[in-house]
Amino acid sequence: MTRALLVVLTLCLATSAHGADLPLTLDWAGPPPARALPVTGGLPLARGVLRDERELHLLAGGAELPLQTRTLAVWPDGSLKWVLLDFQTTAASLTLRWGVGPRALPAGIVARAEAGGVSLDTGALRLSVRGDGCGFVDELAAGGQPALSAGTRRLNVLDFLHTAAPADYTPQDRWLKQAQSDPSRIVVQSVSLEQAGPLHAVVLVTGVYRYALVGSTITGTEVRGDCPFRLRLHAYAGSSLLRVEHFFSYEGDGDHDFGHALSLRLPAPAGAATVRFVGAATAGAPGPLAGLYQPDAGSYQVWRSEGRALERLAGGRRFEGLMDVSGPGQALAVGVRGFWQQGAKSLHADLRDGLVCANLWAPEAPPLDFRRHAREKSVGEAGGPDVAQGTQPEPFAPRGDGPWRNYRLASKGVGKSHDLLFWLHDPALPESELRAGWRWLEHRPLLWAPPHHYAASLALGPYRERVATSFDDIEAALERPVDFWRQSREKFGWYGFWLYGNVAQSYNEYIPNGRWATDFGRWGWANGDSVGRLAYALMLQAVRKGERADFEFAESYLRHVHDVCSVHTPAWPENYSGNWVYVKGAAHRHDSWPWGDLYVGARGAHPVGAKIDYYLTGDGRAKDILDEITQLALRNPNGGAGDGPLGPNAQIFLYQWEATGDPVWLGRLRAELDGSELLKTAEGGWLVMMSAAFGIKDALDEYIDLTGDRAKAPLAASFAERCLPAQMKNHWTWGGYFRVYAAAYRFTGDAKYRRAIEDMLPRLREADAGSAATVLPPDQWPGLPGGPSVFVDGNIIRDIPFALAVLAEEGR
Amino acid sequence: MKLWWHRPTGRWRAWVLLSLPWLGAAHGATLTGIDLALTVEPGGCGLVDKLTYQGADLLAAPAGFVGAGLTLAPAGDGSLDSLFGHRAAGELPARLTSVTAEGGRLVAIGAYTDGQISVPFRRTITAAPDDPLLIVEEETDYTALPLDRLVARHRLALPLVLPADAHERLLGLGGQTRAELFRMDQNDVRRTNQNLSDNRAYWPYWDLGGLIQRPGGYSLWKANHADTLALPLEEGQQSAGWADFSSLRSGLTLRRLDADRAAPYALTIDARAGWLALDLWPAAEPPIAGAALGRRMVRYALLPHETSWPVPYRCELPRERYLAMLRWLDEKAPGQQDSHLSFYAAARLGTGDIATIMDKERIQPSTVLRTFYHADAWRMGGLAKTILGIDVPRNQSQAAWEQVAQKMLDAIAKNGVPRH
Repeated sequence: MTRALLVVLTLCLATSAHGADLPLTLDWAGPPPARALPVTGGLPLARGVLRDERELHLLAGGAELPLQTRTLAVWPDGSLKWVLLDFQTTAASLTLRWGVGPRALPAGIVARAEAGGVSLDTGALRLSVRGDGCGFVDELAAGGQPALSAGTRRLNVLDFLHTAAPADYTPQDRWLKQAQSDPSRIVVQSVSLEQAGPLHAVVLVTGVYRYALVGSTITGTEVRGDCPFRLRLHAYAGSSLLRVEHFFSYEGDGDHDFGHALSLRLPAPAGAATVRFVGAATAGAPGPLAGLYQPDAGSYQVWRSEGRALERLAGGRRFEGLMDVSGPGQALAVGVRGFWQQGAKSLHADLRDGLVCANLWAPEAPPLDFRRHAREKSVGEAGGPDVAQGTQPEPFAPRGDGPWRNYRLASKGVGKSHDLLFWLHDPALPESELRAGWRWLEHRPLLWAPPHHYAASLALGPYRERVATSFDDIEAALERPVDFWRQSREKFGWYGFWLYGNVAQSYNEYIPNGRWATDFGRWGWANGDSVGRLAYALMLQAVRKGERADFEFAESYLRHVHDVCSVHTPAWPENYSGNWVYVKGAAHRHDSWPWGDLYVGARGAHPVGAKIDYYLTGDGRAKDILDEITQLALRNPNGGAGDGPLGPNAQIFLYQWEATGDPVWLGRLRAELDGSELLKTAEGGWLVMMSAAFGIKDALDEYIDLTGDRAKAPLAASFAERCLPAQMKNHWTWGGYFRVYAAAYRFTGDAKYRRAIEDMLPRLREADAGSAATVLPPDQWPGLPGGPSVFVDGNIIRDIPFALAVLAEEGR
Repeated sequence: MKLWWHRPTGRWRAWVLLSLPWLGAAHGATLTGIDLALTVEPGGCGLVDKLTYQGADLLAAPAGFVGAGLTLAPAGDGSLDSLFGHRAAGELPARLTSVTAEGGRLVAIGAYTDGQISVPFRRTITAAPDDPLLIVEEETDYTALPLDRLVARHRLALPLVLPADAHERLLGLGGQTRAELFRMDQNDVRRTNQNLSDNRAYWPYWDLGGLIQRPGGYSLWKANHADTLALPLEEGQQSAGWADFSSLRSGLTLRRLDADRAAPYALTIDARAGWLALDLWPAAEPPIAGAALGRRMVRYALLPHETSWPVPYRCELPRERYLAMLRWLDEKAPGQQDSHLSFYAAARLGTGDIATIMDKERIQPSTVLRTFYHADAWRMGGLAKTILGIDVPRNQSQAAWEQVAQKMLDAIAKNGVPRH
């Protein structure tokens, strides 16, 4: 009742004489740009507010902007739930208006699908991608200049080195003793116009990198060797900016197939003679070969070469900028998002052969290592040894055979996504605009409604947004661990190709040696599991506060979890055995390395964080994550290790239902809820907490809210009865029930559930009070050996906002 | 101790031993310093063939060990891709043509050569007059390298004498603000099972560890084996520039003395194969032309030490005082089954064994005390009363406890502990 009133009140307040207005802010991560830049951002609307996205108008300073919209999710009544907006502006404040009739649809990009390929004309940029082409851009032209043509060049490259034995490569060396070069050959499988425009068009290219040797040592499955890739090319009306999303996954044998170079390339502009690296300062590099190499987060070097050896010209710490290669008629600027954070990376210009390269794995670096971190079971999160009283760790496969013989394929299916910018422009473009272009890539403009709008829309459930001077002690307990992590990322250097985005989870705990437990194994890198549904929690915090720092931290974490920690192969060797299973989309559990644990399950790939990211950004990669998990739920409902029924299945069916409006997904959701014995019978702490933490209980609550099916409300209440503070206050799972109580209170109105929240909050305050993040001032984080550990629980960060909504409604 | 202050004057205790002639061209030599003796054989490994400290061998080169070598890469053929090959183009081991020792200084002259290419070098090792310390100055003329060859790695490797018991092989690396200490074989610890998913599980081996310092940034890493991937330990801007290998009784620290201008360089320890290497040009860097390196001088120190504590990572208390403190904490009150150490510190540290705390884990005294006041303020307050004779509020902040702990350590350093 109170919630409904809140929604109505919100709508009334937002309604003006023109219809309804929603004030928006545009966070440019700095001053607004001098020239209009493309913006893509998603917003929720409350149930019943609007049924037709064409009625949305966007105003800047009273003037209506050309606007492209796309419905991402709908409410059960068909009204709009999440809408994606595309527009271009220099403004920092905007107004979204509806209720004044349909808007005029803008003209813009002309797109054609033809002969297995796609061509686009934005008015400032023409590009074509062929079905039998290079797997990237086959022709690119801007400003009346001659087109850059791929010809027979390799412009999309993932090259490997194949060795006979893993001992051929010692960590941090450069060479492999007996390696054979295994260059990729592109096989394009599809080219499609995923989004036609008119302001923002997306070309989707899928295919595989094919090899002579990669994967040749894998036996027992046909899925080997070919490494899949997906490319999305984003073009914008009237703009020559070309944003590129790239994703690949690995189908090689970690012991034998080492990465040499991962690169997207374009032909250089005609007559290109100048190379400069435009960052905070600008460094020039005379050719004919020039580059900038960032091996890690600590340093970079600018080099040039005649083709015999690199000559170092300059250096710095972290390169934040674009490489710009200029000819007399036009210039091409190239950049990679997260360049220094995800090394080793480099940018190359070959003025002799006319080639510009963005190296996502730099060929300057040692080989990209896909091996496992240990060759023994019982080391880290991989099960116990056979001999209980043994004194040595036991090798998985001492003679190369046995039940764990495929342990060397631990990295099979690991993936990685990147965002890049290729920008054809006038050579006279000021450097300030190039820097603005880099900022646009690195820190995308974020479209924010007031935090209350998201909460009041109920599109992410009945939570309470961050309200200043309200529940400050509780809010601080949610924020401090995240701040602690953010600072630790920098202090300990949680960067690099395989690690950026992940967080270590246990500090000074168990063994208070002043170290994170990444050294030891199980409680090392969080991946998607042990600290809870952290991607969900972090994304929700970003929306609750409307702050860029929270969003970017959340996004880097969830990208890492769903890229590196997850399995993207359709054939995974279950428990390192010869039994190949479909767990594509599921994640490795926490360990001392992202792919260290043989346990692979859907719970680590809980989809709600990616869902929020997709609704906020419309990113193709986020959509792919959700589609991959959907296929997992359909093809292997078990989800790997029995995880699917714990919640990920129900959560992904909820997403598909709202994304498509198709009732078949509602049917699947119902079946998942009805089939859950844990919802009906779980007792004893762990099983109850797991059902709440992993998503099945949240899905039940959301189902009741969405459908109004009150017949299931007693089940929600009975679930809460099984975890009231009387039983759980002193149980180690105490933090897992705040949202359970909140839901039971909403569904029944029984005050005992609200009291349960109040009874359990002192446990949170107590845990927070003893945490290193609280005991120590930030300048002393993370603390000294022997000192306090940090208290962090992603499930609590996720769930408390729902409990606060209950308390706030009662004016507490 | 300012290691680089020592000059070749003062109380020399060095003397020269003639060794067997090598190829009729040169003689080996032994340089001695405070409690140490270093031997270089012209026909030996090319760096240090033997180092003894207090009568025990720290370094000893087995037959075939390459103590110094240049690994070459082919120069590019003019194309972009050819600049980034992953194949070596030959090894040039160091050959000494002259070794002399005189006045506390050993000079080794030779070349990195395969018989066709010859890159000359000159090495001067100076024994410090007052400390167990050797300072090495190494000058290499890379310009002698032909234009079609690049330096892929320039490695100086010390042949470690390994304790037979793998549990006694201890590694250390110097980061910017902390030392990274670990052991090759930690599976005997079995401290708290919560670290692992299975209560019969083990900690991993850490056979290798290393440091790479680039201009402006460094990273530390370790690896289970030579054929597994490297795991990062930390990153920063300027490392402390040292690596250490120790047994429970003694060890050797290698430290760059010109770290601020020497990058890139790398330090690597392989406690399975038995070497500690300083790479004057690390293999992780793109190969470089000899002309770009020019004629280059580098300086580093070899620091033998007692106990397992690396020289740059000092124990906060003199050893005897620390031992006394731990014994004092391990005393049981009449009628009690547990001591402070076994009841509280052991639960937090995972061990109450004094030798393990001091020599294997290398836990600082302040850490031992912190386990008390973090977990049990009353216990710590009682200890403070005993040591300092003052009453300490039990509910004070962590920062205030830190000050009390420091006073206790100062008092123990000065006066010892009660009844010891």
